Amino acid sequence: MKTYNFAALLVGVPLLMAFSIPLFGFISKQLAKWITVLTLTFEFLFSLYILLWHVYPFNVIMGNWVPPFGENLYIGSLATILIVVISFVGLMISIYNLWSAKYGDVVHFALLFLMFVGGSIGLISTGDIFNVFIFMEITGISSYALAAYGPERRALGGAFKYLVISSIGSTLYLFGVLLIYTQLGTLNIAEIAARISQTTPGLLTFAGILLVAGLAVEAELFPFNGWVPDTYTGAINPVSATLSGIGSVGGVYVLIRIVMTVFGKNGNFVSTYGNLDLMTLIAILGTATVVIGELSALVQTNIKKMLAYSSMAQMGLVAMAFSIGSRLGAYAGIFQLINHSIAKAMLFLILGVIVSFGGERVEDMKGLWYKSPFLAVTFTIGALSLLGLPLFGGFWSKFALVDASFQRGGWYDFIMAIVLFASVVEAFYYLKVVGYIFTSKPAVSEKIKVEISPAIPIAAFAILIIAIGIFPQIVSGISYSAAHELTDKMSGYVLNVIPTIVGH
Amino acid sequence: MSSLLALLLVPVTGSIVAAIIQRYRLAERLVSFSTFVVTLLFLIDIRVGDAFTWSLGFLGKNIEMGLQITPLSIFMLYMTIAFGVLLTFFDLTERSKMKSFLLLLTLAASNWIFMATDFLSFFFAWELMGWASILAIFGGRRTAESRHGALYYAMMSIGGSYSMLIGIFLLSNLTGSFSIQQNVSYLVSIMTVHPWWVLGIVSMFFVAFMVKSGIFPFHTWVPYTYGESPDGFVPYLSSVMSKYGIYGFLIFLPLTLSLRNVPGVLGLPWPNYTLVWFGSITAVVGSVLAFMQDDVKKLFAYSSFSNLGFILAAIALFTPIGLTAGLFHAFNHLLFNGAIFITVVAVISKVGITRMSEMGGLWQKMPLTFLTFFVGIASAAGIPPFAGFGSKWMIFQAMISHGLIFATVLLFFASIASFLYLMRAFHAIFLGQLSHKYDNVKEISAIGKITEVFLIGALIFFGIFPGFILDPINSIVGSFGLKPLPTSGYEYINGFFSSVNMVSIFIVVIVAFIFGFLLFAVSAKHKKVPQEDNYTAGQIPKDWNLTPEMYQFSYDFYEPMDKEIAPFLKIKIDGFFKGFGDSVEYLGSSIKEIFTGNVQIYTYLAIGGLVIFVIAGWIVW
Repeated sequence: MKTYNFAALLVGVPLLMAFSIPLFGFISKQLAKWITVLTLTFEFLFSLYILLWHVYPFNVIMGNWVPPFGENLYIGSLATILIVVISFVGLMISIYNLWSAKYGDVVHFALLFLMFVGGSIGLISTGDIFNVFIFMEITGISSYALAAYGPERRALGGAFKYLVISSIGSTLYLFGVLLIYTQLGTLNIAEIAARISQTTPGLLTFAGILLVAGLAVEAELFPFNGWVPDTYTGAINPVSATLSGIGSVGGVYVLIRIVMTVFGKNGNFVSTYGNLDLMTLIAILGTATVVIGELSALVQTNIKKMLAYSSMAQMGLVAMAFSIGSRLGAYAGIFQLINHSIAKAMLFLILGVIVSFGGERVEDMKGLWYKSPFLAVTFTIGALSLLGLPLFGGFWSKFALVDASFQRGGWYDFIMAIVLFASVVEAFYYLKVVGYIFTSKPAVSEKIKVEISPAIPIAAFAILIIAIGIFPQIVSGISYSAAHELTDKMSGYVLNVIPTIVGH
Repeated sequence: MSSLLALLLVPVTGSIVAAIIQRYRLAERLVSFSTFVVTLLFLIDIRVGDAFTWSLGFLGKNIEMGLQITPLSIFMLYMTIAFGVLLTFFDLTERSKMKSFLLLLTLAASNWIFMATDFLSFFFAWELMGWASILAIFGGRRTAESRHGALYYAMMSIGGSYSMLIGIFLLSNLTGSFSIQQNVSYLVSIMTVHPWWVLGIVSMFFVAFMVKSGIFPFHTWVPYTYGESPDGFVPYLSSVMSKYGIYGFLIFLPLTLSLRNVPGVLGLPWPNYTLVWFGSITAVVGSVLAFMQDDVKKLFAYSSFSNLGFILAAIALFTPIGLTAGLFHAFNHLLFNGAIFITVVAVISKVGITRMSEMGGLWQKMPLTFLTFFVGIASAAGIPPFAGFGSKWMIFQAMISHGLIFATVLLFFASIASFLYLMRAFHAIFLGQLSHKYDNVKEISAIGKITEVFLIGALIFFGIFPGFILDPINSIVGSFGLKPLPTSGYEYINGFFSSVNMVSIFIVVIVAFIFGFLLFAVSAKHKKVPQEDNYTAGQIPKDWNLTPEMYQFSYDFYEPMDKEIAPFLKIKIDGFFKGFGDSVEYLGSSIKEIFTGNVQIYTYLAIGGLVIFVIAGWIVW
């Protein structure tokens, strides 16, 4: 067991800075925004250091209480890559916010944003099932407020729906945790994972269902995702980008961590303890989400809503990939999660610039090429990456996903056929927008001037998408070792946290 | 070999440069042309057998990827790149909204498709070619229609590639490898044990190839898309991109060699026989639909996939003569279709419309274009001594040698129908009376003229000396393990029953032509009449609601025949795809209603979901 307590700063610094932002806000509103950028730069560089210098996997141990007795953070390969992605996306959005957050309470917006990113990083790194709940609440509460931010009334409605559904979700989650705690008397993920087979199967099944149902809210899985379209549409674009690029990553991560690591029963394909195979449950939820999301997105005339449904569908795809239960499946899921996070965040940011010059209906995209070639090209890159077309990151993850599901075979062949059909639907609506961008002359030929601070993140995302598209090795290697963490829970996770424990 | 990589990297680099300078049209087109030329120069250095491999860390293992040159791939590479040089040269003065960088990306993808040794890179290149061409079509003349055409193509094409993707994984899961060679030989080895598996897997691939080549019943996108693509791109689309499907078929057709001893139909294995019929039906459908078109681009779109039907019918036989005939026709189709589309594009760029009934008499204004078009359609109709005769002649021989009488009759019918539509286009565009609208139309620029002269030369040269093409084709036939046809000099075509000396045919045709011209010269003098000076017996046309266009004799050119065929046109494959699309959209708008925007409903949904899970857990319990 390797410890590296310094990494507690990953969670500590953003939370600390978040709460001290009002102090900086007294000096200047601009300073508050810049503090966000600086903090997230630190986060990004630090996580990059952990990734590139191969510091992971390690534990962060609080007050010398060794797990399972104390609270710990575990940062393995999966957490590392996801933290890198989250802090990168967060950094980019905070740079974008230098331009976009200009009305209302800028200081508190910066506070909430930083809290959200810090909470998400905590969510991913914590090794304690109850701390997951705490971080879920931190991200949750900050995101309700973020979603309500902005000049439009619909933001309030969206945020309220999110609040209601999300509260139900966290209650269910807490209840599930409670059931497990009554059985095993511990909250440490590694210990629960090792001793999960000692529980009463009936109660365990119930707990599993509660946990999955609770976490499916954040992971945007049907039928727990009613909040998605309204909240995404209501929120201002950088917030939608945050929810889709950061929030959903955290949501899916926790879901998968609980199901595959805590409940997982290793075999050729991971299944779960208890009477009901939670992996099957997730497969069904994921597939339903893909189909419902893509078909609903098909008929949208509001492009933001379209992106929201597409976001939901992509999360379904990711969940479905994880549910395959093989290492390849988990690999595809992680890869797809990263690609989606980058591409979707970029699309929302681009939309933010476009909306500031006009409407957000699909027709308003007409002739974007003539108004701003930069936005047109980057939007196309993002859309094509989501469609899984080559030269862009999405190609590799979709290819891996199809490979994994055909290797699993059985009823996954059927699922894959449905998913591929849904992908054709997805291709239609994205290409339709791309068509509008390039074919029609705009009604008003006003040029869109993209200022430097929104241009930097958009360009960075686009370059990253193409870089992954040409050199998939950037993400491929670390994703594959991260996949091991999920599919072999003892050697991948539990023994790294508590080396002395014996699996039952 | 680094020159193999150059075939990919040069177009990609050119594409990046062209994308950066795409604002300056001439510079962009120059980059595009010079990239094609440089690629061609690199190709000259490449020989059969050259290979290049690398490995990619992906899917948790090192996947071997490679490029390799086979006789077929070098034939395809020369065909496509040389044609591209010609086309981009022509495009230098072309004014449509085509983005050259997309054309260059397509070139990179196309080179890669022809060289790939593994399915991963094959699929990568296939999809790259797919999206680059989809985006290229967006630049069409009419915005809404070109978007529609591109989306139609996109849906068919992506559907096809997903089908291929499924095929790839069904196959690679059996063999554990992406190598095309290994997978195909694995299929050969299980052919006799599990014929249905092989058929199923290969069909998944064939759907993608049929879509790309526009083979019945996946031909419906072709007219929409060709009709609406940018003028500079449509020759490439129809001449070059349709051949990717043919290349794909040839990856899997060698499988049928192992079926030769299994009883089939007329000495042909069942799969070959079925494909021959797909080809023949495509030929007929394309030809019949073509002669009813008034839109010139659509007419030649139908014509284009009709010819692909001929090619498929021939290569599907997979006999030496069938394969030779098919590849030969592929080459000739590239040339004459290129000539036709380039001249059509030249005409459209001058008159600004695509409806043929509003053209007419343009030979007076554009004589060289007229001549090129004439040579092009004469080749397409298979009139000696132009290219196109030899290959059609060989196709019929190949078909008859197998006793495929009905399919041959269909192909003959298609061939005759092709006379009809070519005649229609020829008359409607170039002959007849010139409308006053076109008094100011001029012949195309010098660059266009050079291209046209070159095309005429090529069509005649390869018509008279087919041996220059048949030689490389023979080595392809040999590489598939078949016995090549005998060769006897560059001017001979050796068929199954007989051989033809093209030079003597050429002399006969020339003599006949001179004789005909003499008759024309000594016959009665002709009088030119303007379009209004016509057969209305003193009535003022306006009283009859007639316009000068309606006097154009090509207006409703084949009206009686159209009426005959009309009942059959009610069978619409197109309608099936449209209906399917509509029902998906309908489904979408119903499903969207789940998200009512009411938080109570969402809560009920979530609780309902939970209850269902609990019940499910309880039942299992």
